[in-house]
Amino acid sequence: MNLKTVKALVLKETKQITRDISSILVAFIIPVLMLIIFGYGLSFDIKHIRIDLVQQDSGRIAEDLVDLYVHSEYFSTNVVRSTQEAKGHMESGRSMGTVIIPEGFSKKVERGEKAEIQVVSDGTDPNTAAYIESYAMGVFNKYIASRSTSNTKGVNIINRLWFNPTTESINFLMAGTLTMVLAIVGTFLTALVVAKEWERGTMESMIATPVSINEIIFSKMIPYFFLCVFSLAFALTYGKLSFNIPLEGSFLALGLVSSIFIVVSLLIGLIVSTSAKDQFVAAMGAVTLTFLPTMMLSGFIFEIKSMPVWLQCLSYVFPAKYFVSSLRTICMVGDIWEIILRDAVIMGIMAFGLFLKLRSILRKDIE
Amino acid sequence: MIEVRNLTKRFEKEHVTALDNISCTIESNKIVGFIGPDGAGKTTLLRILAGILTPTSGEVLIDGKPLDLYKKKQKGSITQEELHEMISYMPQKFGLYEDLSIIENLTLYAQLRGIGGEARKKAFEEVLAMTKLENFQQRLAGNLSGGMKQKLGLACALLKKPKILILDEPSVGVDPISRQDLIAMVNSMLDKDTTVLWSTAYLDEAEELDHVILMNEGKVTFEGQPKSAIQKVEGRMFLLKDVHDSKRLVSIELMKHKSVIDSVIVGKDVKFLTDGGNVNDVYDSVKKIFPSLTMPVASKPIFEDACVDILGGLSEKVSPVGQYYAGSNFEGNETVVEAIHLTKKFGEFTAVGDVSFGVKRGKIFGLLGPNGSGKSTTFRMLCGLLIQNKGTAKVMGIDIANMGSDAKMNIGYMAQKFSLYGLLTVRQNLEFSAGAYRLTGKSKKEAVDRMIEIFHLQEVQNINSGVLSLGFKQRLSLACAIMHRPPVLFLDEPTSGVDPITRKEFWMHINAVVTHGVSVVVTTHFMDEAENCDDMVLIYKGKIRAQGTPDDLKSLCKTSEEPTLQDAFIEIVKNVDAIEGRSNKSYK
Repeated sequence: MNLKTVKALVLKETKQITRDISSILVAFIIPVLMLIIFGYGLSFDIKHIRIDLVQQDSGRIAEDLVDLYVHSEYFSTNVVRSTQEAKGHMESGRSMGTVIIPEGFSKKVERGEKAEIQVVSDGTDPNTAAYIESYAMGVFNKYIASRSTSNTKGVNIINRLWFNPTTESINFLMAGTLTMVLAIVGTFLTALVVAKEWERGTMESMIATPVSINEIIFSKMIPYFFLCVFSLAFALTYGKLSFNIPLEGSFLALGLVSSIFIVVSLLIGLIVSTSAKDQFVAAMGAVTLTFLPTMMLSGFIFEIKSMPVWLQCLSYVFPAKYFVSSLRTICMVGDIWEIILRDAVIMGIMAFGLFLKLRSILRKDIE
Repeated sequence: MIEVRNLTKRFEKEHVTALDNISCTIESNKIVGFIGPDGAGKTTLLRILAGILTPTSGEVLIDGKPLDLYKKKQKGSITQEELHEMISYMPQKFGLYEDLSIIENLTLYAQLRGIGGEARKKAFEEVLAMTKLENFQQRLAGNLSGGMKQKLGLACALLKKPKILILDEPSVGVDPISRQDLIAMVNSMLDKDTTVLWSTAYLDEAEELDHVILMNEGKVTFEGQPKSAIQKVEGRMFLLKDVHDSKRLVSIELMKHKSVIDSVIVGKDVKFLTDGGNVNDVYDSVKKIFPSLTMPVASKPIFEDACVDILGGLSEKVSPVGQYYAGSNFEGNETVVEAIHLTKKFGEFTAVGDVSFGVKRGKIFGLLGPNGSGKSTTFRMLCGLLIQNKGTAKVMGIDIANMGSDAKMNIGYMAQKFSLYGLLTVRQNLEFSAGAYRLTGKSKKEAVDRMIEIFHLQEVQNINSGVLSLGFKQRLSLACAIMHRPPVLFLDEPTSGVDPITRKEFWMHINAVVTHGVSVVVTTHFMDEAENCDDMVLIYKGKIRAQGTPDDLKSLCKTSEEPTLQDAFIEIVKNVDAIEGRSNKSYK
């Protein structure tokens, strides 16, 4: 490998990146957009869900309970008189659920009998429905529990809120978001630029010169590696400033796993575009191989443990899973080297395999 | 010396045999032309010789040493690395980085070839002077005109004097002037011990070369000096002078004679090639119908005539398309297409400024001009594909801007690129076009069947049109354009990339329909095709620079005794440049 040739090609690639506004947009605007979308839009936190409360009992205890619902930050509660009215609201979409406090509720509680409330939720959105159910019960149980210290006993308390104490899902989503950013910048952009060279005939011209395959591979990877690093650093800084995302671990650990994952992403991009040689097909390939698995199978949004076994097995193939896992650890917990090194080694093996694959398919041959 | 032995290349996926067991010998220090129709295998052969495509079988020797085509790294063979040290290759798309400037492109290719320091400086000075690109060094390659890109591509290939220079269609889609410059550049390389492999679709260009290899369907059909090919048709070429208005009918009549292989309209004259039979016999049979004809005189054949002879002439000598129009003759002498003060601006830039002309019934009208001159813009305004800023375009007396779909039935349009549905079969495309032009039921089926018969599409009628060869695609496009018998045809570079025989058949069809009163507006880069026109305009820098018959234009040329249309074209453009300066702006 001739270092002068690599330098010349890296320089050329860098000029092309800085002149192409779209690669800058992809590297720096998309991370911000994704953080904003996942930070504000795709929030798992339940706050101010619109529900109706049908108060059929006018006792003191029922009034107290109504008060709790009205002042709960999870709900924005609308007190109505009849179930009919509540049903109308749910049908028209004005409320997502209904809590019914039946007649005689207060008396039952006072007598120490088992008192019940009814929670109806809109099943069209199972996620929200589940949340309404558990939060509504949570409020109820909390109330019962507060009374139990005085004169009631034997009530089950399930505090759902315990699992998400900060109620900030952005911390949880951050790792996945950064992985997606790298999937786009690393794989998608690289796939496009190489396919573009095939489409425009510049690759044909280049492979007819004394340049070697390794020189081509390294000269494509070096500039995009740095672009990815800048993009990641930018996204992390932005996340820190706007969402106060924690970084419990060290920069060393972060740098290690990120570098390996970036190399893996770049290699996938190069393999896709070498096989496709067509910008459109390369773009589709990059999305299918990196973006979608990152979204679906990395444990970023959907819990891998609740998937069918064969899909769980499949998730081990995609490098994003390991990056999400170690990045999440570094951000939220700290340097747990057991996890970080395990993920780093697995991704490293993947990178090596991908390099060999690329070496075998990228020949100085037009076919 | 390069020896090609029994080279075969099959593309298994596409089921195409691009090279079929070909052998040829290329001597050193010569310009060797690879000519032949699209899909003949020229590019495949050049790519194998450039070491970037692996053949299926066969071998190549350079100066007696075998080339390591299959990357087996055998001892004594020339490896891919060694080959790439000795060649320079310019692919069809030039291989330039459009987002890098001229000087950056040159620097990159110099570094890839390991040229640095003083040697690089000297090489840059040399190629920049030769290409006349010195003053545009900082301009991005993407902002260059087609001709300038070509020169830059060539400059990149010439930085290190190669032993073998491989140029794949360096002049395709380039105007005659840029083509001349290119040949001059390559010629200046010759005394530097370089073998040049040059592929081209232009036969007039090939005529200038030392040695040509004519390829067809993956085989070599002729190999040798163009001169020796021309010698074979010497004494068989004749010219009927001053035929004027009856030139098309005379040409059609000539083709009916068994001794005539080919007949070509050259302005007001008609040229024909015999198989060596008695020319007086031919003259007598035509004179019976056209008594005013004068005796034919011997004419100097050109390389294209020789190629037609080698390829065995046209497959049929009377156009069945003419018969298709028979019975729906369009009579009269009125103007059917009119451009009135057409002006088109793209931002600040005036692409077409105040262009006016008219096309009469039953005439062929040519729009000529270099790349980016404004001729395509004019053409697009005429057929309503682009809206002008000023002026009017009329077809059959109706303003194209307010033209309803009824009036559009009068137009047949053939686009520059294949614009039919690639995933539909040939028959389905014809049926779709028939439907679009409101043919239904029995008349639709009849029209489709006739087109398949006329254009010999029987064997391919159930094949997806996207996979057809360019020649078939071009015939199918013409069939779709004329099947509703429109009185006006718009043809935008209809023959670019098509082989000489198919081009000749195409013009035979066009000339035949014109005798039935059809008017044709055509753009072309082939000056020999422009000779078929009755009237033409040469557009350059958005203005009409010359107008008239082919002979009118030729008479404007003062530099040559017997000027060709190409000579006239070049002189007119150069005169404009002398006054206004050569434009280097790129137009999109």
